[in-house]
Amino acid sequence: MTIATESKVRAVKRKADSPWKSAWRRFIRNPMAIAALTMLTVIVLFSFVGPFFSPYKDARITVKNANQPPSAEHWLGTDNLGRDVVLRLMQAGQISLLVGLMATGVILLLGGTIGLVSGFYGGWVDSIFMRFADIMFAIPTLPILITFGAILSDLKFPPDRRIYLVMLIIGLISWMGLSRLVRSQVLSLKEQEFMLAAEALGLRDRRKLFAHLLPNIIPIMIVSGTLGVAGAILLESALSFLGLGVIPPTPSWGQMLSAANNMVDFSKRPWLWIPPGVMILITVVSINVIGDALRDAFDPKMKR
Amino acid sequence: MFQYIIRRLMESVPTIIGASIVIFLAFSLAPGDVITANYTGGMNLTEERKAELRELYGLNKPLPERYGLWMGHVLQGDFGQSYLYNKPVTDVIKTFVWNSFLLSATVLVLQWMLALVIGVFSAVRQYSLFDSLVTVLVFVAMSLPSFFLGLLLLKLFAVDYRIFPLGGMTSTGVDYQGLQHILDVAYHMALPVLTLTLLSIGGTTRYFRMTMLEVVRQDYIRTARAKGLKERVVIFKHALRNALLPLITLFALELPGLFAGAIITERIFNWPGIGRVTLDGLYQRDYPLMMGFTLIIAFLTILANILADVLYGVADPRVRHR
Amino acid sequence: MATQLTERRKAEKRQTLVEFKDLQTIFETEAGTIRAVNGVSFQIREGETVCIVGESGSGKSVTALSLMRLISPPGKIVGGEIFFDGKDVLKLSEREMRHLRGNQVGMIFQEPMTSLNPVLTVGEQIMEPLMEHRLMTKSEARKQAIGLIEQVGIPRAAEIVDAYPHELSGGMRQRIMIAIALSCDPKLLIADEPTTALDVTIQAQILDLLRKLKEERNMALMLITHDLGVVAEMADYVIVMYGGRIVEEGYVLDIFRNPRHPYTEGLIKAKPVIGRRTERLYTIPGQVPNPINLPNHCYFADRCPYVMPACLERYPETTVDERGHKTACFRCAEGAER
Repeated sequence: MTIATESKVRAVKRKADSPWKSAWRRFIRNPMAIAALTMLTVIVLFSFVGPFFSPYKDARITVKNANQPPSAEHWLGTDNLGRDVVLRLMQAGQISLLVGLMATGVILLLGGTIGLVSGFYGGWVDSIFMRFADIMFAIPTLPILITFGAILSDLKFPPDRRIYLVMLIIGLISWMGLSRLVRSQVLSLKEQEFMLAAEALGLRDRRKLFAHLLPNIIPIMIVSGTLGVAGAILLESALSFLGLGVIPPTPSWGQMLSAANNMVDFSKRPWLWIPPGVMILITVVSINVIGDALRDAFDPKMKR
Repeated sequence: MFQYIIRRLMESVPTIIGASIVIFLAFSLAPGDVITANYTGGMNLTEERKAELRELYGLNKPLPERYGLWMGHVLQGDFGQSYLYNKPVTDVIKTFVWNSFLLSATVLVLQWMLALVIGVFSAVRQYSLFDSLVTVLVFVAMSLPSFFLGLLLLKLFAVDYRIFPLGGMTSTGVDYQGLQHILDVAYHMALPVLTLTLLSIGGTTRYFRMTMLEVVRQDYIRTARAKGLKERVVIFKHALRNALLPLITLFALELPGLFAGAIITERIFNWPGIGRVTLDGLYQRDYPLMMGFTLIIAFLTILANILADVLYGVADPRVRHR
Repeated sequence: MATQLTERRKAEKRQTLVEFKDLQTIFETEAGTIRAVNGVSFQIREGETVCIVGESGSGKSVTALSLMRLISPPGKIVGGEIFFDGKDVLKLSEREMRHLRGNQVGMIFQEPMTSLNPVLTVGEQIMEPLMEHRLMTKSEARKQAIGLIEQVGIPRAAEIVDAYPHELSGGMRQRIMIAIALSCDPKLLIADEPTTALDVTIQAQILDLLRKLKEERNMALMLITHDLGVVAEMADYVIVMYGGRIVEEGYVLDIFRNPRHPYTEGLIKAKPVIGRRTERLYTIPGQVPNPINLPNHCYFADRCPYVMPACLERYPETTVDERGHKTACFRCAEGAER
């Protein structure tokens, strides 16, 4: 009875808005989501705008200033090459966020396309893709990820171009979940009346795909994509922490944390590795909260 | 049921073969091999000597043949020789996997018990202060980078306050026996177990909370209340039994992790487990070890998928009787 | 007319079992407060069948769930009293309330498919209240459960007791629900649309079963339905609800022969009668009012064929005629006759 009443109320409300508008309204009414969004904005501004306000230049490596503890001049101290840790955090943030975003782009492109094609065409195309997804699911993520990282090291890519490969690799091993989600969504949409109508009108395949299916799949892509950025940032940081992802002089938060592999830095100079860890944590929490709130906003039935 | 299991096993053969091909390709296409990794430093090998060594390890044959050879041996239970340990891969895995198992099994038990209690109570008291706190902490736990949490705990409890040891599995320089040995190992386990439990508990708690919230809305829960049953019975008998059904799948899928080790945590706490060994193997380009280990985990994962469906069928009467 | 009066006199002699006094139950939703039950008062006497009629959303289920105190958040009871056997149910402790539920009041629900726990056998589910309230041992309860399954008309009870709900048909499951509700010999059985989800032939069987069991046990029955056919067949007394309020109540023959409220009249007109073919079936025009912003005048005014200026000014008071027939309508208040 309670549920019936509630859904009735929702039905009355929903009539007024487009699904996007009402999803947005539900999103901004979620206080956790707003807090997370604010937090993430601060981090993005810190990483991309922050460096302009820093009195230090990256190029200025002054070894005599090396390994200084936090002070009024260097709020979070300096690293072993005398670089300001705050500035380093900002630059690392750019890389970590970019890797997260680009890797997610790869996931969305691969997972979305494979799911869409698999679900839409079915038959042997579907069997092959889904069997491949099964295979990729079976292979443990971290061993294969660090193996790819090691391969990168052997190929001796220049450090600045290496990050693109890191993005690609993370994408290559994380697309399966999304492809299954999209596929099942396509399958259920195919059964719905408007697709049958499109069929009856004799619309061409591509038009059917893009005009009708895509708008219904975009919410899934947005939610998965958001959560994917968090996952990709975590994977990148783990890889870089092990020295197999982003390598110096390119900074990333995970790469900065690998300073902790040095026993002296680890026990005596926590300012070198705690701040990047905290940055990763705050960023990933914020993105996860936003992703979760988006899911609730798009699909109120799922909510709690 | 027996027929069902056989059918599922047959169906998974192509997946296992596919996984073995992907694993084989990943490692064989890697440009480095054990020779470049180990002999480039001090020793100046002639190209001839390198070729000889490659011949010895069978690295100069064409790919399909090498795959055939490898799989042929694998099917006989021979995963090749670990370059790093100079022992058969199976022996290396056997030596270290149980250390990982001890760690992971402890974590699995703690994780599921705590997640059950926290998840159920937070669902029953939805919107309470406790529930909000749990919701926030779950997000934090799910977002923690494993190495950062491990390092923080290590710094706090082993470096700053020397409550727990810095790493390893036993104290060096002493040879404890019996109970003392067990206590010593438990003492060394504390931090890695804490790290891994904190890392894994978030997701599991979330699942418990979500399925419980879903279940307590069902009509049969109202029926149970209308019968005048105690709230404890309503929650733990009527609701939890139903909520556990989808979680059985999740649980079964976590079982391969018992043997996979925790690469990063084991490294941070210097735990002599299979995860740390594979990482060492990777740095030394000990590909037979890596390949063997990865393939075994892939195989266990596929088995766990089947186990998940079988267990679900046993637990859910609606599926059982079909 | 004479038989009707004697029957009524017989009814009056009975003790009051349940009394609702100005019950107010609301649901706090994002969109606003829903007054699901808004000042409902009526009585159920021992052994009497009271039917509550109304469209979905009229508050009839919420009224019943309020008596069981099974309103879950965001709903809550904010006012009024409900007396059961002389005690105010709303003031009982949770423990005393549990003793009432399933023991003195049994309840069956609309959806037999989802109202039974899928992972427990039907036997276990019937045994539970027996062990809880009657303190039976497992084997005694099991024996009793088999007996109950027989009483609700299911053959092969000894086998069915170990079946899971999904193995039974909808009608069988509803019989099991009845067995559960009756397991502890309650004084009152609440049946919330017990036949709505069932096939027509099964509906009749279930109604027969309910009537038979009720007579055998001299139990009161609170039957919630939107089906006037069910009302005609089962009811001693009828309550008509609209928008969370009672618009009309009276003995079943009075209601059917002489409906006073235009809404009741519409309901009866909308019911097809065999042997009287009309061009088209009558439907009440308009829609159920939005439960959030109920007007402060008569809720039925914008659908009412007899609407008067007063109907749009305030909510009409309830008037009682000499036969105990109560109506909340200005036309009755003015003594207007059709």
